[in-house]
Amino acid sequence: MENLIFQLVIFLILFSIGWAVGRHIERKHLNELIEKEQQLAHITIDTNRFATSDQLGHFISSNVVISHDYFKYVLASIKNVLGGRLTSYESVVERARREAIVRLKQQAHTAGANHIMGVRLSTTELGMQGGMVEVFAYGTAVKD
Amino acid sequence: MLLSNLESVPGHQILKQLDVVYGSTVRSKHVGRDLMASLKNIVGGELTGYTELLEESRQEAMNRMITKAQQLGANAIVGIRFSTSNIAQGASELFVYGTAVVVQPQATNLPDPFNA
Repeated sequence: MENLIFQLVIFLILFSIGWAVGRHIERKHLNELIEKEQQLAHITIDTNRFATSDQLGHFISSNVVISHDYFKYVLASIKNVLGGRLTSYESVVERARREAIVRLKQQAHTAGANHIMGVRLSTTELGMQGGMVEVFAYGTAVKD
Repeated sequence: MLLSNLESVPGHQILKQLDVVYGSTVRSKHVGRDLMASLKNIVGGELTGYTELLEESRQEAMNRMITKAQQLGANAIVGIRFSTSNIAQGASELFVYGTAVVVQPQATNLPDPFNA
């Protein structure tokens, strides 16, 4: 009985830490993303692999690994039973994609390019119980 | 070595197609990083250790691909593609492939924004 209470307490502590800190980190990250996206808005991207340019271009790539928090993990485990959209995980993957694109644009920016051609995104799941996702973005940067 | 994930190298003309070249590497994370990651799993956010590890590993795979292309006498690789797979628990394979080609610049003295 005592053991059960102990486990429940641990669970509640992790759950509330995950909720409070996780939410804070997510909000901070989203605000940072909005700011960076505005700063880098002058760099355009496309996914056309047949696109070409008469200027010199270089291959660039970026990646980011983002993890879920305990609160999202519990929420998703419950949702897994019922089925349907896992909104809590959708936001994790979306943040990772946006961050990868922002980093790709930053690389193009430091190199003095203003357009990225043939952008590709790939998503990989990492980790044992899942919940860690890697987004890798690559493309060819040119100065038009 | 010029690299491009497009069908061509911008500003260049393809003279000769050589062969498909590829490079791969299998990496696993060390215990310290795994431990940090499991702590980070509680609060969420970016796992900088893993981001760096995967970046390094991809660079290594690309270096292996570039070495093969150089052996073939190519000066560029076009149509680069990446794939990542989890082959065992805690280990992932990073694979990169492309077509080794010989290219020639369309115009001389084009400004290169990356070497300026």
